[in-house]
Amino acid sequence: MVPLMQLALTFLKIGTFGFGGPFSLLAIMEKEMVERRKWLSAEDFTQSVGIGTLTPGPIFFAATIYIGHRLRGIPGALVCGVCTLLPSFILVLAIAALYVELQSSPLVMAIVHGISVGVIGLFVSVVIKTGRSTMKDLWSIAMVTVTFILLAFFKVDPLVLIVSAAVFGGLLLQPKTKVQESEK
Amino acid sequence: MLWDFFLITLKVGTFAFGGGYAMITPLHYELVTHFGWLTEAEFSSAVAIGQITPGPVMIMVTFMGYKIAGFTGAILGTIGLFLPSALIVLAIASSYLRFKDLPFVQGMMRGVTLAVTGLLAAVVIDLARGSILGPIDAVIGVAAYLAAGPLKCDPIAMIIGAGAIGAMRHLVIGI
Repeated sequence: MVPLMQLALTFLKIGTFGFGGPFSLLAIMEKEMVERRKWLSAEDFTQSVGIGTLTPGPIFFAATIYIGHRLRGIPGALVCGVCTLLPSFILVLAIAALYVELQSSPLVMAIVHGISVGVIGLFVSVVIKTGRSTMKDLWSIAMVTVTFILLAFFKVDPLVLIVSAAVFGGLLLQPKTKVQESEK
Repeated sequence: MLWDFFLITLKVGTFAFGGGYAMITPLHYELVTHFGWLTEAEFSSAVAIGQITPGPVMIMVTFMGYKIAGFTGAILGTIGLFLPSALIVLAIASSYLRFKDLPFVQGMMRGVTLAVTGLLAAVVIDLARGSILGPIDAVIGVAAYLAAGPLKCDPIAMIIGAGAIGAMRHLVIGI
């Protein structure tokens, strides 16, 4: 079982250094949870993003709660949720209280732009890893491709797509044998 | 006012489907347009602060809460905005644990996982449309992929490096 203290430290780290918006945060989380500490499988991670998309609010935050619950139940969810928010909460509070002027200066914009370009490359590597873990047969390749096209080119609401994929999967993608079940 | 503000964040936290950015418009409507507790300038600096600081962008609500009602406002606003999401996830997660052995539920999760894979791939297109503004950006983006993928660099170090490259480009060569 993952010690709560280690869970807390990992999410404090993500909350402290996770610059660059939701997709940067998801990429860091994937690295820490799946690759480095091996607390989750790549599929568990993808599942947590799915839950994050289905629920209201920030996807990254919802995924954090799901992972915390998955690893250590309710206390785990509480620890992860608080530790993710705490560093930026303190920082934002300090900025507000000290009346620090944080207007978007050209330098700040340049840094934000630099990070957003880096996040793309980072995120491509997450997508490739996710794809490798989930696309195992023709069915799954077809389904990923269809979802991708509907989202990228037809701007279908992601929520609608994920709900339909859940219904579709429930009806047609049930595990066929006991062997497959025990693999999970 | 404190109580009203807390209720507003709870409401936005419960009904804003579509990720953190879906929360910005309803918050703006309530806090700026409807109640007038924040000025346009305060609201946009809250958004900027949310983007510049680490962690979830929606931590901007801490700044809004502080401007509206001080320290208590900051705490209540943050709890109000994030708590509904946490509770809904916990409800889903615990019922998932109860039903996860049903073939229908396993198929559902498989479907969700595949849709998310497509969704993540589509995010790359959106991010690239918004941020790859010239050939230099494209080169840096590809370099970032090589660093993160084949070279297995630490993402935190990469993001800090990418920010530093952005600053250098601005200060040294001005593009």
